[in-house]
Amino acid sequence: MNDVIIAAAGSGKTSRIVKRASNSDVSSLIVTYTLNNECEIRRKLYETNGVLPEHVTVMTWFRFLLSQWIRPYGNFVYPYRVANVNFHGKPFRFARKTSSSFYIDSDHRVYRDRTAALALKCNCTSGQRVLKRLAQIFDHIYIDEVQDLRGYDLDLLEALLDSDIGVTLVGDNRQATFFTNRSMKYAKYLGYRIVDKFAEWENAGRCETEHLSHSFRCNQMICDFADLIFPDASNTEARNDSNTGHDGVFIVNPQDVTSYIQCFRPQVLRYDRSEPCQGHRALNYGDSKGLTFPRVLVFPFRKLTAALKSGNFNSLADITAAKTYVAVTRAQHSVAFVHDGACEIEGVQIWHG
Amino acid sequence: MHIETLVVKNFRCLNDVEIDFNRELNVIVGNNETGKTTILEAINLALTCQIHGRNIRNELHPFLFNIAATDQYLRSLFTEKPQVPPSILIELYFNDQPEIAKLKGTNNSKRKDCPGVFIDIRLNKDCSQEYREYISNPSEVKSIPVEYYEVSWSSFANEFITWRSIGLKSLYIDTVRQRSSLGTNRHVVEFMRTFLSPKDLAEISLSYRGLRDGFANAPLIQSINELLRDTKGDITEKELTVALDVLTKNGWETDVAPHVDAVPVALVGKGEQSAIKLKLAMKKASENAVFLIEEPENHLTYSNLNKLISSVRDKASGKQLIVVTHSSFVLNKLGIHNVILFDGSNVTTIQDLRQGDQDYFMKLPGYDTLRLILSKRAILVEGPSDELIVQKAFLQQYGKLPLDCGVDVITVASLAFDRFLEIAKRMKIPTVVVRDNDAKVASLDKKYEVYSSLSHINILYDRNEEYPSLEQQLLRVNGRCKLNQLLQRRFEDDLRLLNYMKDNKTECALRLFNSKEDVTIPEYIKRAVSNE
Repeated sequence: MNDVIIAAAGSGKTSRIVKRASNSDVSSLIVTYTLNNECEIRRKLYETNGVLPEHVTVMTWFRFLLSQWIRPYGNFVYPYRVANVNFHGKPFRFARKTSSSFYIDSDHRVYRDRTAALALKCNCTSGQRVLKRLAQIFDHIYIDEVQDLRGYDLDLLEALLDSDIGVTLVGDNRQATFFTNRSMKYAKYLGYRIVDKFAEWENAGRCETEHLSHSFRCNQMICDFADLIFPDASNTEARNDSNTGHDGVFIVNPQDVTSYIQCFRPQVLRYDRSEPCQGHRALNYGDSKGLTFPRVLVFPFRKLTAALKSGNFNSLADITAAKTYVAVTRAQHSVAFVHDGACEIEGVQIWHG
Repeated sequence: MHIETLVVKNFRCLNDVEIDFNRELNVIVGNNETGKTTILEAINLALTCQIHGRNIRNELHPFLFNIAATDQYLRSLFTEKPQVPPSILIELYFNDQPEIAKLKGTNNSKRKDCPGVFIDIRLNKDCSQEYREYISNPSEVKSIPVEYYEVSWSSFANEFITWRSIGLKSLYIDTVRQRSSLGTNRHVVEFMRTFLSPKDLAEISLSYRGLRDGFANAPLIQSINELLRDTKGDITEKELTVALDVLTKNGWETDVAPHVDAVPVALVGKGEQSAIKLKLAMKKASENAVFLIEEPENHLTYSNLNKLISSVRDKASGKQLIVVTHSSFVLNKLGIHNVILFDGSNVTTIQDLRQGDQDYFMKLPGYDTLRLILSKRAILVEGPSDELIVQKAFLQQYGKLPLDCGVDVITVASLAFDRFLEIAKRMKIPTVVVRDNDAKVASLDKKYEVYSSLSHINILYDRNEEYPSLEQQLLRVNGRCKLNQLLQRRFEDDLRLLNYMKDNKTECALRLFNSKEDVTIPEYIKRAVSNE
């Protein structure tokens, strides 16, 4: 009844859950962290059905916590309506767990890092009413981009897995570029390592795991390059075998950037805005998540330049590795790095203009 | 889906009220000015966020708030402990079913875990600065500062809602308020909106717009527009033409008028209008609707009312109906067991009325059950002559008529006594029955034994079987001589006098009632009057 789908970039995982939810006639909820992805899911629902089907509901993660977990039985814990989430403020460090100021600020907003904990507390204090109510409303809950969850979120997922509601968790642990909160609880399952938690759940009989190791988006050369970033993940098989005459991974000398852009019209990607990109309009790696481009031109950051030289990506920190993986896997046909010098990686070609 | 409970606080005349409703039929009765109509308004408000067809947010005024609460608050401003300004709360508790579980939660005053919605009107906390200034001089504060109030319309899950998210439609049929022809039109169009599907509505709107577009293409209008075009430069540098305004999406509502037999509905009689509204609403197949019907008896003749109520009852199955009425007929027809007696703060209902009694009044709806239900104390008598003698007894003892003392003397055919008593028993209405002993004291004793343990019900008849009727009782205590004098007759023996009185019951009673002299009243009637 419960399953976890760990999917490579471009494998069409979001389309898959949209189709599954649309085609089944049970009442379903699709939850995802970001507003962008929520829009994307809605767009795909329209694409599949022409309308938003009545039996499918889409929500962001925090809306899910607020409207389904916290507010219905919030008065078991706190006398006021929890107005919203305080995304930026930090709770008072020495507040006790029993006091409401541990969770909620003076404007009745719940602290981002404590939202899942408050949600669980509402369920627990009300005698599991939250889950009973949810089971009345939804037969199945899909959680997309599950790698974005951390801390108490994982306890909440576990509670859902153990409930009467069917649960499908979908995500790509290599794309953990940002998180719903900053909690340090369960740090060992953070981001890429969330799969270890999935394995535990599978061993305990809570769910089954499936790997989608193919990409409809990228060609094989791009897949192979992206697989180098996380060497212990399974290899990705490309389902894009188109030939455009300029396919694969390239090195472009900084002097040739303008002519490369004129020639191929790639989407320019940068790590963050500290990279000027020679004045070309660019998108941050992280912000490109979920998007598809025919070609990308990547301005590398310092450690990525070193990795291109040595062919070894071990020195990248978790989040930077995830962002690099995201940037590379955006392209259907070609990925080019702005790089002056040698590159030891097999299959990478130098572009000569 | 239906309303199980309504809770109202501080809304108009309803200070603090809680009412449980039946799954289908509910008939609210009560004296004037107790707030029966306000109950319907409150339900409609909580279901639609509207009052008189407009959004409550634009219709806030100080008189929406309970007067007692307002006074208390205004007085408190002069004391050391000023009160929180009054807030209005209306809660609707629905039955728990999965389809509406999204409205479920414990955010309600009873902390009950069930689906529901509430409307809450209170001082906006963001306006506390302005409010502080407003009350700084209490003698200038004459009313509640609704300008600083906010309205929140939420589910028991504490999520703000829209009318779509409730899933229970409210159909408010009010036959009381006089409307202008425009108002009636709007009212019926509102009904069409609930009756027609969104697709139908869109199609009306589209063809209406098409019609307006067509106007501009009519040859006559085109030639006028040609003419206007020639004025270019004189009036404006741009091209000037005429066309109908197609800017508003719902323009058709103001121009489309429902017709009955080709007569615009506004010109049809009020009674027919009410009936149309009601039937149109009832016809809609959806079970998720609550019908709020105010005084359906208005503007209708007896026979039309009969037809209307019968059709309402037949089509209501599966739907919830809340009817306010002043008519026994409506009450009896809809089932007296569905009555909700409302006195302004508390409700009384009839629990477990026998099926036979329910059917009896449904088949004989002419009985004035409502008079019994609304009376503070009732004296049930067998006929008009008994009624007159009881009234006379009252007048002699108190110098006032029974009604002036809050006592209702009701004539009930003797066969219906126990039907009425079953109602009085269950609704705890102090009731006295005054009747002839018909020379059957033993059997009467046995028959009324069931009421002997009830202190609020008293059955009175004389125990002497030699005087089985009222006339004999009157003769016994007054004597032939005095009765002859009171009735202006000269009968020489008792039997003839008695026969005369029996043949002219009402007329004799009327003479006795009108006589300036006191009439001696039989003991059992005296007891009924003094209610010892």
